[in-house]
Parts: sequence; C-alpha cells; structure tokens
Amino acid sequence: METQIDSKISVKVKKIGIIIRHAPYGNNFAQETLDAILAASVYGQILTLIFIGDGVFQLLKEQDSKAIQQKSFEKQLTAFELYDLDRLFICKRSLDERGVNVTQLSVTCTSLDENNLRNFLHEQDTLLSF
Amino acid sequence: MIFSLAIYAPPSSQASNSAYQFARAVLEQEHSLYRLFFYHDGVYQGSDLICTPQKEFDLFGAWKKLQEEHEIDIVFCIAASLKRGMIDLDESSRYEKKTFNLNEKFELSGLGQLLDASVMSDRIVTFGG
Repeated sequence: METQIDSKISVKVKKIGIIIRHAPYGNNFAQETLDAILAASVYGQILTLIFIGDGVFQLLKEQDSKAIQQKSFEKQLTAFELYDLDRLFICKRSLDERGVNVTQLSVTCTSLDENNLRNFLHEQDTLLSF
Repeated sequence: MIFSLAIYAPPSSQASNSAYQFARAVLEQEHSLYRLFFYHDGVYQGSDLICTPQKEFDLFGAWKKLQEEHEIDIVFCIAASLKRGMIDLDESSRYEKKTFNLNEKFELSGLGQLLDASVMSDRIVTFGG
C-alpha cells in the first residue's frame, strides 16, 4: 500500500502551501498539525509553511511547556531544518495585531505583507489548511 | 474538477454537516471526490456506536450511505484515531482491546493519505479546526 502511494506521488511534484492557524497549546490541534507536516515532508513535494493568525504564537522563543506535560513547539520547530522544511513564511499583519516582532521568533521566517501573502497563496498548486 | 475533503470537525460541529453537504454538492455537479480524510477530532465521526436521536439528522448514517452509493475512499488518520479510542478489528487485536468501534466502511491509514490527496486532487477543502 505504502509503495503504491509513493510511486503515485513521485510522478507528480506540487507546490503545497501549508497554512498554520492555531495557537500552540490549549488543545492538541497544533501538535497534530506538526505531526502531519513532518509526515508530509518525506514525499518529495515542495512544501512551504505560512503561519497566520494565532499560528504565529507557535514560533515564539523561550517556550517552557514542561508544567503542562506537553512537547515544546520551539524545540520541534527548530528541528524543521532536518526535514528540509526551510521555506517558512509568517503573516506580517498577524504579527502586528498580536504585538509580536520577528526578533521574538525562534526560527527565521520571512514576513509577508498582504500583497505578498496574496501572491504567495496564488503561486501554490494546492493549499492545505490546519 | 477533482476534490478531496479534509475534515477536522467533531460530529457535534456544524462544520461536519457542511462537509457532508459540500461532498453531496461536489457529486451532484459531476465533479469527483478523490478522498475524504478525517483528522483531529473529525475521527470521532466514524464510530459505529453513534446513536442519533430519531428527530435529528443522522450524519454518521449519511457518510456511510455516501460511501455505499459512490464508493468514496473514506480514510481516518490512524494516529489521531488510536489516540481517541477509534479502532478497527485489526488494531483492537494488536492493542489487546476487548472491542472495536470504527465502521467497516471506513479505513484507518496514515497521514501520507492526506498528502496523497493534496497531490492527486485539484482542490482540498478543509472543514473545522
């Protein structure tokens, strides 16, 4: 079954934009999103991540999630490089609305204003929203 | 156009109902549905133990009927399902559980199926989350 999926996917390479909209803790939505992204990273597709809305909170530095028995997003996101997940974008407006600036982020992201965000979304073959 | 749906909403959410109506609309307008992929709390929709009160819309029954009529590929994320106690007969034996609850019309499989759906479909539409 797995080989069949692999061979089908290898025929087509698509630009897949992954939209991340959820805050890191509170429920396991964001954690399961990371699981999905890591699983998706092994199929040879061109994945680009865009953090929008409360999703920008996933990128904050100095997260300590031990007291709530959760894995730290900071640690997991800094490991993205190992999976070749290095095309990371962040919505500038979402940052501004939440009073966060790019120096507070644990991973280097390119910040996109509304025009660039629109262009980015338009350039993708498929969008996968979480 | 080829569509796939990513369904994250639990049965209690209106988004689940919207997903079903969208799926019906896709087929009525002669587009095709490549796959329905249930993830996050969406996996609760596959429980065979759901008993819908008579006067309410039976969404679980509706998904089953859609699968029977159109042989839609309906996949439940295995990782999300196991965590939430949604298991089929095989997983029930593997984890030595006394019972299982995923309806036989639905399949447990990996997250690769979600990526495969985004590669093979023209649009992937998300409900819930």
